[in-house]
Amino acid sequence: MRVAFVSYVPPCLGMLFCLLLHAQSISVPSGSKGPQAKSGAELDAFGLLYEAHTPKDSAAAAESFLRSYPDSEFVEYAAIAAMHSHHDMGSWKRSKELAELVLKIDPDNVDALLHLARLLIDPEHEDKGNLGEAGRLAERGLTKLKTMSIPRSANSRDWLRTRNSFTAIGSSVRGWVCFRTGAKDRAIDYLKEAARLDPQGEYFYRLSLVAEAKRDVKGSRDWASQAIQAGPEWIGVLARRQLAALEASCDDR
Amino acid sequence: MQVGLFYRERTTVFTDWLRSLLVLICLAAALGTPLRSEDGSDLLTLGVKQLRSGSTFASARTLRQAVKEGNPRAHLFLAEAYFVLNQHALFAAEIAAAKAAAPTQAEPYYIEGRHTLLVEGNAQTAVEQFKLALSRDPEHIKAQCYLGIALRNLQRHAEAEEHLKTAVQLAETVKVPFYLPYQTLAEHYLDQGNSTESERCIKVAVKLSPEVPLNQFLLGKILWARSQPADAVAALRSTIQLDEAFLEARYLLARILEKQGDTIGSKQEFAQFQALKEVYGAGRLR
Repeated sequence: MRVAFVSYVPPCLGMLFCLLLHAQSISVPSGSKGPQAKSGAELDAFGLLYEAHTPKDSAAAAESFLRSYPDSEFVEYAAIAAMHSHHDMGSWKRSKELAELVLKIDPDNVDALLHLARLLIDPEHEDKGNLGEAGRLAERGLTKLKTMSIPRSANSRDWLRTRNSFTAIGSSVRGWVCFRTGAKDRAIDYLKEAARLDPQGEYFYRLSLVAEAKRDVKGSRDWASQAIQAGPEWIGVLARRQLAALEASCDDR
Repeated sequence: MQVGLFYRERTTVFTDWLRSLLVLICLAAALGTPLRSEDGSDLLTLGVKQLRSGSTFASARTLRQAVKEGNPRAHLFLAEAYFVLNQHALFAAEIAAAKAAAPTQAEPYYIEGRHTLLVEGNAQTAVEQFKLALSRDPEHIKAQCYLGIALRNLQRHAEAEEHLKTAVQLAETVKVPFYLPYQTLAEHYLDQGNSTESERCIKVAVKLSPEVPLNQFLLGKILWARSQPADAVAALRSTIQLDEAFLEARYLLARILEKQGDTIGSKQEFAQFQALKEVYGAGRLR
């Protein structure tokens, strides 16, 4: 089970409601659009997502919302929350279904584009046939990301963190596609970029695999150790397996 | 002796009662149970607290319950919660209920005006709503200020100035540290070419709220207009420190450094501006 849960609700979801009335001035775009609830009960059900403290609670609240309000304008955002929560819990299949649902509603949703690309190169579910699709999704997500401006009411640090985490996913997919097509040096560059922007264990683990393929045993060992340190646990398991394999191959030699 | 006994008995009873109360409080705190029953007014207090602390979804839920339990004062705060949550139809219904519940109060009309101005972008209607608020309470500082802002949006500058000045006077009389009328007046005077008054106003705004990036940016812009480049540069650097996404501040800073002959500094700032444009997009004043 994937236990690390970096954010219970995706940051872009938080940005939806980040303006505060008690502030002395509000920066809401004129004629502001946004998802509209048809009733107070619908809004309450969506609001429960913000009160979830674990991936399990978040997934449960989001799934319950999706079942109860399938026609709601909030479906896209509830599905995004559920998509991330299921991924954090290790439910790859449901996470993928939800990413596809989001893209059916909004084909340009950056979060879903990049998440689906990431799922297609998941270490436990990778399929050679999906590599091209993963690359295309990542490119589309990164292109769309470039056109986005910081929402007027958003904090610049929050925006930077969100943007960096999206860019890192895109870079890691690019890196993996390069690796699988034999461009190991470019793969290293992209994966290092991903790890620099958002130091996640998954990116260190992938660096370890590429370094091993380049016969850089020391580098591979270092990246695997960093992957264990950064977590989450499921990546730690894979990285420890990688370290053991490296030790075994050294012993054999 | 009897008196002493009576006193001791009374104090024992009293301390026992106190101890019981303490136990009850501790128990209630541990269980998260409110000591008082949650009638309409308790729910209103809780809902407003949630609203002010940013738990807006929870506040909407609590305030709706307060309305259900017959507290008409909850309509206004529920409307505020819907305003924050950007729920237009729900806001309209609640603000109408708030006006009906308290027809002589200014606040519902003021909140409605802000929604009309800031969300719908309809300055004309907002002016009427702010005037309705002021007809109920001419000393409503924020209604005076936002009426000035709405009038400024409609290019009715003389009227705007009058209401902004009234807001400033009211704020000074009751000693409310409200920067917005000073900030808006500073922009107004700058547009009118009165940089002396503009500088005076923005300096008050900065003194009241130095943490607001737009205050610092306007100070920089106004000081540059008044040929005080060193202080302008300092204010613009403060803006950037407060908000990296304030690209307009970085651009103006680069321009000032260029004019001052600091080619290296200017090039650095322009390069940063270009790089950050990729990250933040159009910036803050788009």
